[in-house]
Amino acid sequence: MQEQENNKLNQPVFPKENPFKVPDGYFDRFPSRMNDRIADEKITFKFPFPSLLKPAPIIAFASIAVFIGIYTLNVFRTNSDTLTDEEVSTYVYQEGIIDEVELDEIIEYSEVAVADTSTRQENESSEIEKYLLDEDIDLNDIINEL
Amino acid sequence: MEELSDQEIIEQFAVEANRNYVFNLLVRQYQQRLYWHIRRMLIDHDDSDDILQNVFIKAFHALPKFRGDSKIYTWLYKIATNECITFLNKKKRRFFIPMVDVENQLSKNIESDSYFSGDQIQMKLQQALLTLPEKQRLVFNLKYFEEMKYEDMSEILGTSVGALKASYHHAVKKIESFLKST
Repeated sequence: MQEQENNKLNQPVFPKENPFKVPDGYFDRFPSRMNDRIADEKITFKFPFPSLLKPAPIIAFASIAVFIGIYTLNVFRTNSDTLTDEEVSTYVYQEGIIDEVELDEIIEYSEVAVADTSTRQENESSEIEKYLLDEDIDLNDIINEL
Repeated sequence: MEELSDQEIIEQFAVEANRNYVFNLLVRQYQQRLYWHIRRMLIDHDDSDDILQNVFIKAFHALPKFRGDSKIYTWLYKIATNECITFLNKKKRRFFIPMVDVENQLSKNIESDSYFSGDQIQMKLQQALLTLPEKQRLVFNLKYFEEMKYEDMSEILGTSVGALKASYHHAVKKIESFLKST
């Protein structure tokens, strides 16, 4: 009781009346306006993460999607480019592009060609040496000319 | 007007068939108190109307999850208070001006507001209130105009009763000083 009276005495004396007004019938109409809003909310689909619809996240997600897309394409392309020898020979046989005899010839030729390159270099050196001896050319003359 | 207890509102809202009817009662029960709380913070009627609608929309969606840990009335006030603060902060960011300028603008708006019917003293009081920090203004409005208990205010604002009493005291001193100086 005493506390209540003290509180009253300590109360500031500012005007307490509400100085604001509302349009006529505002509170009578408000509940039905609210019902309409709720009905609209039920009909309209709302994306559950509105913050993701802001420009920055959209750009970020688009960049990630593009990166993943490019990366995935490259992975598939690399895989298709690197066929094993077995896959190539199987394909060649199955498609009947060349028969077994022709393939053996190709392999033989490619092995010969590789071997041939090294022996040809050896042959060329010995031929030059032989030529120099036959013609009696002094090796020092050639070095001096160089 | 039929008034339902918090428990009745929660129970009946859970029944899909009753939902719209119960929500309509809830709106009728709290619309005026919430509106004036919002209006004192935002000053402008149209802004207050928008925010009040947002408050009830949020309440409609959140009510099924409301467990009754607090009173529906303090829960609604909490939503309304947060909506007001968010609105004022957005306004500040939109115009790249500090908060004090937004409140300065609101103070000027009172003078030209067709929905303000107060006399010169009431206008001065509103202008004095707009010089207060946001939280002090909230505390003063809830205590002085709405005569809310400090315990309920504590629940709404998440501040201790002691701090609220101190905040109210500072607000009163600042208002008195403003009114004396003008």
